[in-house]
Amino acid sequence: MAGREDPADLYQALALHRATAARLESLRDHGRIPADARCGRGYEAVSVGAARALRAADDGSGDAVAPTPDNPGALFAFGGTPLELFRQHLARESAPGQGRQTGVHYTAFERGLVGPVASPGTMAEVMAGVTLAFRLRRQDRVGLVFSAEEETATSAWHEGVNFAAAQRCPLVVVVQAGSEASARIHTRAPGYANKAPGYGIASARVDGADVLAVYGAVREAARRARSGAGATLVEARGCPAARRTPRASERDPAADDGASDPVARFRARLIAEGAARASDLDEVERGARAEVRAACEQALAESPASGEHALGGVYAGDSGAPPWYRLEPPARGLALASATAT
Amino acid sequence: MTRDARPEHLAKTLRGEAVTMLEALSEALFEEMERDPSVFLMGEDIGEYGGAFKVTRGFLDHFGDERVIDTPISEAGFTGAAAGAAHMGLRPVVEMQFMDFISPAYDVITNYLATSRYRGSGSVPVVVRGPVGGGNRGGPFHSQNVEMAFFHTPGLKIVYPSTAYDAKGLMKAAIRDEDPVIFEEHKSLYRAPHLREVLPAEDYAVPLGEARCAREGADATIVTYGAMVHTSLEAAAELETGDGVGVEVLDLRTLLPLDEAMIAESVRKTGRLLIVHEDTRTGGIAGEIAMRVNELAFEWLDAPILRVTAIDAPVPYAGDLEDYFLPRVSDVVTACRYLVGY
Repeated sequence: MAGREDPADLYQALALHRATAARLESLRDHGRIPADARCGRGYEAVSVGAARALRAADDGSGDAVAPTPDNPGALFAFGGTPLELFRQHLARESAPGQGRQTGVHYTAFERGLVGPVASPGTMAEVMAGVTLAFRLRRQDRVGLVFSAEEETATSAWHEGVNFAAAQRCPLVVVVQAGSEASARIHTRAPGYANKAPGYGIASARVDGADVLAVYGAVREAARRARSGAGATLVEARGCPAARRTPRASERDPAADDGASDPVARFRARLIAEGAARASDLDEVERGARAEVRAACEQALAESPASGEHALGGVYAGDSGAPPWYRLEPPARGLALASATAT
Repeated sequence: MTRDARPEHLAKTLRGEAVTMLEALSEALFEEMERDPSVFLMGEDIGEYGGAFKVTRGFLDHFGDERVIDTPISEAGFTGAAAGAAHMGLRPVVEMQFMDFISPAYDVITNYLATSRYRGSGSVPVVVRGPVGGGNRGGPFHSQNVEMAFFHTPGLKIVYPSTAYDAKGLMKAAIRDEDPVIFEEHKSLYRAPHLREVLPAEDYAVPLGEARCAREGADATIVTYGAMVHTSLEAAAELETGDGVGVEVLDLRTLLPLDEAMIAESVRKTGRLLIVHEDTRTGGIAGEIAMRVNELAFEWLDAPILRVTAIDAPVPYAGDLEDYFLPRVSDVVTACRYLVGY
């Protein structure tokens, strides 16, 4: 896909992620979505840089990515849209999950999107299998799984990464690491990249707030994977330690100085290097906010998912049956037997 | 990637010879792998060693190491990977060396595989199979029945055959099914001489979700499955001969979905119900079946619903203890006599 590393395109993707995160925070702070919803602020660079280093397609021939709720930018890089995401969060009838699951937890295999589950580490196992299938079928495809740093402490994550290593799966594991202090809760290793030699896989450590650094590291990891060299662990340092960003009223203004803000940093860099003018970037941000606002307003105006959707989709071809006390008239025992007989 | 001709030990049915349940299972796996190149196997020691019980003996030489994959000891890892591979169009069959070892994969089975379709992440046609059951002096960690750990999870199917014919036909149906299937194989039945039978040479499958009437009777119904089918049939024969009591024995074959229609129909005919399972008592499937009958056929009951089960204890190692632990023919006879005399 042309333009995936073009600075202007990257900035547009960062701005779209940021605008989405901000809108989700607003919905959360106004009680429209759950108070513990993860919105993704601060994860713009790792989301966009990593996902855009892969090959997206919409016909099932491209790479595959399993985002976490912190990675709307990765979702968008693989064909997801803010409208889909808001429909998911707001549980609309039109949402891909029809109200059965929220946020980025939806799947579109033809676009390479593999929806995550909440169990920490599970997606490392699943993406090991997705990429095992790529290898067994001799497909020129790579998979990427985003892992929150705490996931690396689970047995599931270990088994997934070890399986991918043992089977030489074309998998890129991006660990979204916080600070050294936050890492100390989860490991005594100097960093998550230090775990890679134990699995016999390659590794890289990058600044997770630097979109170009992430892009470069993942592009190299993907190249290795395509060459048959197996999995790579990319440690993206500097991601927010607290994944639930504070309410607007709780936010520390001093924390918004731009030094650790991946969007502000890339903006300053583009201007400093003469790659873009501030007014152009302002326009990009306005455009992203407008797109996100329109998507959110459309989703808000749509109908909520109807309760009957709770019945379907448990098994193939099964729409489920309501309990006897929801039948009209309620029927059990003799009545149900005679109703069945007729 | 077929390398050799069909191994001789997997061609008994083609030669018109009787097979054991284990051989029937091996034939089912082999024939499905021949029929569908997307079917592949993963598990511990299933390749070079041929599996702990030799269900996959000869498979590695025939199909190669990309379709018969020896895994690390990572039940969660390779079950999760199976889900990912299934997402990409493959049909994995994973072996738990003993089903007791499925517990590390409980998370990924219940939170990922079982919910995938409902969450909008698509079908997960994965079969998780392995040996279960006591009577072999295997002790607490090699003798368990695991069905009720998963029975409560919508989205899963649970199969538990009692004959060679059903084992082969149900395995084929499970592999062809679009939903994840837990497939329990009682190890006491694997090589039981009295279960050897000549199977149809042509391809067949036994539909999931359909019980079978293993013996007809008019005075009481026994609902059971697995090894207890044979215990119950022995008891029914004794009651016929000694007491002139006709006991109908239903073999569930599939526990989930449960064939409640056949159970209700039989209870409406006999008016008495005994449920027999080798699994432990509290939280066993007898409770669910009793409740279904209460909802569907209470008016037809002439006696309380009873159950004969293993006692509520881990499976003991010593012979005398395990014999005490397991349901016996005499237990079933006693319970039936109580029912018909009520």
